[in-house]
Amino acid sequence: MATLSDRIFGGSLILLALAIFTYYTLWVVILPFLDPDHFLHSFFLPPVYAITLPLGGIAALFVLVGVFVATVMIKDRAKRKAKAKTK
Amino acid sequence: MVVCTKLVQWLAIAAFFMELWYGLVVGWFPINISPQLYQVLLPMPLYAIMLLGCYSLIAVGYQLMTFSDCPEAADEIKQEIQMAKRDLASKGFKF
Repeated sequence: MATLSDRIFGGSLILLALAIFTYYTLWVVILPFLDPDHFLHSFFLPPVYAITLPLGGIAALFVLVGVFVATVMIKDRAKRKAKAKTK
Repeated sequence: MVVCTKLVQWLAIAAFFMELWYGLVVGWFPINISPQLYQVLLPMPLYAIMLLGCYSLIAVGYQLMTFSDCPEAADEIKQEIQMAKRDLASKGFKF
């Protein structure tokens, strides 16, 4: 059996995924077929953002991963140089 | 012999659907697409990426939830390590 914190974290990951799926499906697939004055429209941004926000998110993710990899590589190189000097 | 790894297979499938999507968006096919349907069609690649992300999150979360620790096995292997150490020490090995 996984530890309690593992189970909570895993469960919240699943819930987050389901929430994102439901929200985005409503926004992208269902909303265009509803009347423009339907009350559901008040919970969502205009449809342009259904494209730009995820694209921005993906770009931000790539930047974050790139920065992380770069810092790890720079640290690794510094370590190796320090080792070479002590030898 | 054509190289047909899983990567190539997935790329081929993705390329096919991207082509289909692009054709529908640009209007290669003689089909009437209502404005609403067009609005749904437009973000479909992003929708596919979102689906992949959600699937990955659920897979990771589920495996994390059902991940099994084995405390008995940990105790057992600790005991065995101690036994092996004692055995080696009795034969004159220095740690």
